[in-house]
Amino acid sequence: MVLDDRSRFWNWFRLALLLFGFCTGIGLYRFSTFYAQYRLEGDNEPVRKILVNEMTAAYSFFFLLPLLVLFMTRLPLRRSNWLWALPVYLVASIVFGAGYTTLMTIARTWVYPAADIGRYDPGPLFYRYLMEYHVQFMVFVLVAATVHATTRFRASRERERESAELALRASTLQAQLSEARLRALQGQLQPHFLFNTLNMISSLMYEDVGKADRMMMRLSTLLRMFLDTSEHPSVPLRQEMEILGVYVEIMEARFGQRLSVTRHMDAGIAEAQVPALLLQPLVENAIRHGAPEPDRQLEILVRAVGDSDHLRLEVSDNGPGLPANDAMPEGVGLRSIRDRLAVLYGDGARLRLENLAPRGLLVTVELPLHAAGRERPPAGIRATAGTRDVASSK
Amino acid sequence: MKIRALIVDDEPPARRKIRAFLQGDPRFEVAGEAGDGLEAVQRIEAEQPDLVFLDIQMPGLTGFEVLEALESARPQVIFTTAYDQYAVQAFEIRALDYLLKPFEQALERALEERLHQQSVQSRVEGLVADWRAQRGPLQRILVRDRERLRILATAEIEWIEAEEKYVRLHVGKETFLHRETMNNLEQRLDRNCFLRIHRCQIVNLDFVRELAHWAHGDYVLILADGHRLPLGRRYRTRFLELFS
Repeated sequence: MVLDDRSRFWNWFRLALLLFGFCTGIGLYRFSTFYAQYRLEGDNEPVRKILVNEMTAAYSFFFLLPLLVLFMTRLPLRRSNWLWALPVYLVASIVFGAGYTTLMTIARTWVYPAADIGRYDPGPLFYRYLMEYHVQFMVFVLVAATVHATTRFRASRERERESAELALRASTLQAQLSEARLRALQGQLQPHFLFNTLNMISSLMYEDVGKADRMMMRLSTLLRMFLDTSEHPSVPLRQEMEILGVYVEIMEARFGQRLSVTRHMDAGIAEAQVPALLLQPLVENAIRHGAPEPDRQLEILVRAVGDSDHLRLEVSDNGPGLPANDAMPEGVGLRSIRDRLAVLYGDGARLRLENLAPRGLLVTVELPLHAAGRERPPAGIRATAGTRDVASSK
Repeated sequence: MKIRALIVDDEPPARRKIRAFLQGDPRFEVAGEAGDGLEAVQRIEAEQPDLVFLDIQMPGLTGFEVLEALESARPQVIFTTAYDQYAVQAFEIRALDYLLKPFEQALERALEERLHQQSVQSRVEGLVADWRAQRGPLQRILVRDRERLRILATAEIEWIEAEEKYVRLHVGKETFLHRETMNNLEQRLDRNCFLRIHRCQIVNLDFVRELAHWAHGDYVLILADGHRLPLGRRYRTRFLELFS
């Protein structure tokens, strides 16, 4: 901080020094012009007087310049505001001129006796101010043009930098999104699931060709859905429940009597958008970790409930629940769901795991009902879901 | 003499497929089936089959844990798995044949190996040892409660005391006798959680509520349920170090 302050002070100091030198140069330049002019005209104006006149003019400008620049950067001329800003500029130029002449007059009144040129006499003040104003107006315009050009240049550089930054942010977001998709895909297409299902079908072929064929179709449907997820990040709840049905049919064929899955969906929310393949990994988790006591059936209940602005998806089972010590690391499936929810809804969605009494686990996903699928806003479907929901609540 | 085979898999169609294969071969006789790890331990001990088709990924106990839990002699084993990179790697290290589901001809080859090579058994022992060494601290333990088998999460165990060649596990109001030596069990338990406090006692630190002065600089541990365990002098330093 200290270093920063110090370097900033030095920057200002250097700028002031530069301007001071510049003003001195202008003063000397004007002095030489007038000196030559007086001599040409045979006027015997003393050198000191000409020098004092021009230098007081130059240094008065040096002191007024910061105020002038401050005003011009506060009220920059733009295409949108010139109609009223231009008159303000005109008034400002008059104020600037008046201030400038006053400052000059005071300075000369002071310096003249000190330089032994006698008493300074500005003459009739009106003409004095008017005469000086003509040059001051030109100066004012010059400064305005310089400030305007500098501001425009800086703004365009800033925009360039911002757009570069924006492009970088966008590409990062894109990368995160595709990573989340990839992980979602990995989470769903469990090789273990695939090969066990193929083994089940292979076994069925010896017993019931029709059933084997049906299972093959179910598996194809699922694989197609898994591969489509990246194209359609969100789907209507109705479709999600159907896909879950296909998955459950396969799992029930694999596990027989040991597994029973019940599905329930509230009326009126069938068309609400939900992230594709959200329920299937949750049910898969319940089957994998919800090993019941021997000779007991694993019962899984999937419920989709909606109120006016939230959609709640629940997957509960009668398995052992979460271990008491929080030691279990979150699996790929749950992590990928969390990532997808974050990508689609930001902070708007919630995933919760809680143990049930006396045993079992309840996983709840809460989604905002009307903002489902931010990534690909399905405006039409959203509107439908909304009106239907209102209708059903009557 | 027919070869008596037992089929262990959590999926009925997978069991039916192996059963169908075995029934088509006059050398075999199906001794039974089991649908999870616990049932597998019970059936293997009851039936004493010659050969077990053993699935690796099952709810409750995995195939490896089934082998580890067996008290009777281990039968010949043919592992089956759909997709388990770890298990497959483990089999290959020990040069054990295994069946990848869905399977067909491979079954015949795996059988040939089991039926004609005696060295396979020692390789299975090696496999279980490898698996034990690699899996990290014990998370669950199979105990025998009279005729029943039960899976205990090690986190549930409050304290453990030695009883000759056995250990007694205290879980709430229940106790289970488990056939394993104190030293062996101590090696396998999570060292951040279970601590030896006496020549014949191990305590689960999650259940320790208080450390009270006894007499002559001795300490006694008071557990959440009020039970008191003396802190052996030899183990005192390590215990106190844990909390300093």
